[in-house]
Amino acid sequence: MRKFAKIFLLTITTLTFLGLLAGCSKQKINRTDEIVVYTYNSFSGEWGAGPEIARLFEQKTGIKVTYAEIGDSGQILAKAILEKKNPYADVLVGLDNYSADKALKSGVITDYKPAGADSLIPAELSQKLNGEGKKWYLTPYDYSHFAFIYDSLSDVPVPTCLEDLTKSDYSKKIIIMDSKTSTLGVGFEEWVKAVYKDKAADYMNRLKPSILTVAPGWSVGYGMFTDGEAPLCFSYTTSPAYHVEYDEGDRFKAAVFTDGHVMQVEGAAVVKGAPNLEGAKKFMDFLISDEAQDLIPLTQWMFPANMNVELPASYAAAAPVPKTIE
Amino acid sequence: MARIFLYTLYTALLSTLIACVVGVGTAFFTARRRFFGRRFLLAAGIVPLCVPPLVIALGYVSFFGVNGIVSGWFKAIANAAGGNFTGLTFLYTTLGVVVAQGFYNFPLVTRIVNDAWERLPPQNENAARLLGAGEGRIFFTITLPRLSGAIAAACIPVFLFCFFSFMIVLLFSPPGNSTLEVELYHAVRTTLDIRSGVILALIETATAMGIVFAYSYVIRKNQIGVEGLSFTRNVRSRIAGQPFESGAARAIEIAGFVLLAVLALLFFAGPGAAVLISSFTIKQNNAEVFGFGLFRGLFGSATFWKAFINSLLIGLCTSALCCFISFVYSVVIRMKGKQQKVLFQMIPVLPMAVSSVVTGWILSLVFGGGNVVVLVLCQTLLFWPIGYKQIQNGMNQLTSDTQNAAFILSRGRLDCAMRFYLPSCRKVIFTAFCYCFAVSIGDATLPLVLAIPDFSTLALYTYRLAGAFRFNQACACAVVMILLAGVGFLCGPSRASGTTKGRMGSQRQHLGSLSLSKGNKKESK
Repeated sequence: MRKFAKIFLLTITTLTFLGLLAGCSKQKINRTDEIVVYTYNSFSGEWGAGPEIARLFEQKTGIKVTYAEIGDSGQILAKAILEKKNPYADVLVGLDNYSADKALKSGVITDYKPAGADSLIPAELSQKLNGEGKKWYLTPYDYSHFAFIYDSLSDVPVPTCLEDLTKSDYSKKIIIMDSKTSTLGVGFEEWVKAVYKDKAADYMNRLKPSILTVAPGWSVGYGMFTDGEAPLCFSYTTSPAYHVEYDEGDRFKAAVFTDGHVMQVEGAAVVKGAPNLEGAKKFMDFLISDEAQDLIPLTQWMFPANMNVELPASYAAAAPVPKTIE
Repeated sequence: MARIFLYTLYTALLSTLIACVVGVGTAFFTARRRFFGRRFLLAAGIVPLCVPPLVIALGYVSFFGVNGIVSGWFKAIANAAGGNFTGLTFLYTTLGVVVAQGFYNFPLVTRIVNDAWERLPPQNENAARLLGAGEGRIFFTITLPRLSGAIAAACIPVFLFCFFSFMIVLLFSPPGNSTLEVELYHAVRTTLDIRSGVILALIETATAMGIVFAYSYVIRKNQIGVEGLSFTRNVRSRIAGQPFESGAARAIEIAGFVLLAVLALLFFAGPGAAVLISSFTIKQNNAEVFGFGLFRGLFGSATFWKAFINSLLIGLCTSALCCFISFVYSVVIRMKGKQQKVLFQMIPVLPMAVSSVVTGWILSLVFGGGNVVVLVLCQTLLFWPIGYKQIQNGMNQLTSDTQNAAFILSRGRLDCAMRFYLPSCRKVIFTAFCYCFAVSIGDATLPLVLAIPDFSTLALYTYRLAGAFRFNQACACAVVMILLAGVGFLCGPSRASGTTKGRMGSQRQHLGSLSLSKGNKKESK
């Protein structure tokens, strides 16, 4: 019995030790037929553009795409920074214009302009990510303006500007997102800053009575909005297109504000020191190609960066393009 | 920072108070009375362990939200009376946070306290009755002190759950409020503000450890069974059906039962039913269709099955490791006679004082990334106290006489462990396994923080469904998780509701087998 116990304990200890070693391995990775992409769930999840893009890419090049869902834009960048000395990922997908500055200064991404980018991507989008006249580090793949979506069946008046939302008509009637857990939260704060500048904090204080909830993420917040919890929700101008596309009618509409709207541009970049640099570059080329960009409107529910893509009819019916402010 | 800390502490304490009061009140009825739905209520104890809080939160929204079911009732009544009702908004206040957290966790308190209450021999209470004490006096002077260990054992995990709460607080608290866990998550995962992250982690952990220390101090005296043989059976009577109760006591009992039933139905069963109904509701073109379509969709998805298999395997590995560590630790400290020392009681509870975000963060820094092995290790490290508590409760039933006899009759410590402790505790080890399995199934935070490439578990899949504007599918997945987590509880040996005599009898049996073998060995010589 004692001998058995000793062998048993020795086996468990050895297995645990080997397991720890496996977890700790930090050797340089060498990949030739696979690329690892750090991204967020809306892109790589079952309902995002990611899976089909990966399938088509593998069909075309024979390179397998493995997605690692790290979180939102900020979290993806943070992980890449942590792995700077020994990068695991080849491509980062989901860095937006609000984290672009940090991404460029971090030194974790390398400059690469995909083939044909100049003719496919409007200059304005690239400038939002890379700055004017600078090297091309981040490649835009989709964009949209932020806006409040309202329920046209509710009896609250349609707001025409950010200031309207502080009125008592909107008491506990709006859903926004938390900036610590959602890029839309960051987007809303940027919008308020762009309109109110140094009086932004004062506006947020005055807005508090109107807020029903500060949702942890877009999907939770928007889901509650469509379930009738509140008649207004912060989202993208392109969100109503989803409802039109799936025959849910045009009940949910985007409110166009006289203040102007801010934009979110999402981009991808090649990781500096990527284990499969060639594969990463091919993926970037494919990401802005017509084939991949065709998938964007009906999966990401944002405008594709590629100008050649024909938008579905639902977008024309439901997505106003408002005035942009910086 | 101070404001966030106080808010976190305040909501956690209030929620725990609600869970404790309602949970202990309900445990009285489940342990000592029989009524329709008793078993279901006890089974519901696993729901807080294995259903992601986001799904529960959205269940509360469906039931108590502005456009929820209860608001609908009020609107109908108001319309009938010619008035107007705009919808309930209490959910989106601190009251909503506390109610959601408190009622979501009370079945866990009920279950743990019920287990202990059922095992309490009624001699002392009967003796007090014979001497003329009223039911209230008996409860506060005899029953409650003897249950204090179990109540503390139930309230600590509830407090820690509420203290580390993320989703429910984010969704329901008034704008401008946050919790330590949210700030910590943001610091370590986005801003990489390590200094703030470390400070937050220390504050969080220190507070939780302080509470845990208090708990260990309270329960240290209850670590050894002191009951002798008992020939009385624990018979459950009807509500207000005990012959020795006065009229006033009966009235109070009925009123208490009705109040608790209403609270439980409204604040636990209601949102739970909303989640269940959502899992059978398919939204098609602005209409709602009831059916199994969502389940069919889930079972037809390869991603779902991958997540299911991963959850099952990880759950089994984690639970096995947790039970192994808990059992070994329990036996070792018992053999060394250290079970009443506060330090040794604190060690197994310390992991509960560390949040999943902190553990995942530290371990991904150490290992440079996540993989399945790291996930199993993290889960084991964090969840083994849950298994330990069950095994500890079982071992506490063993009297010191029995244990001393076992030492004398066995060939050595390992022999004693394998041939006495292990068989005596096999039921609680199985229960411990089931609890750890349920918690592993329900854990979405560790897989999320570790971000293992190309990997998903059911909890993560549910969380992503809820986070991808697919709440009904998330509910369907949550139902699958509850069934998976509950399978062990349903198939396991029937819970120890037998007589103390029966337990003593089985202990003597094990002792008997030890002495027989010793006898045989002598003969073979």
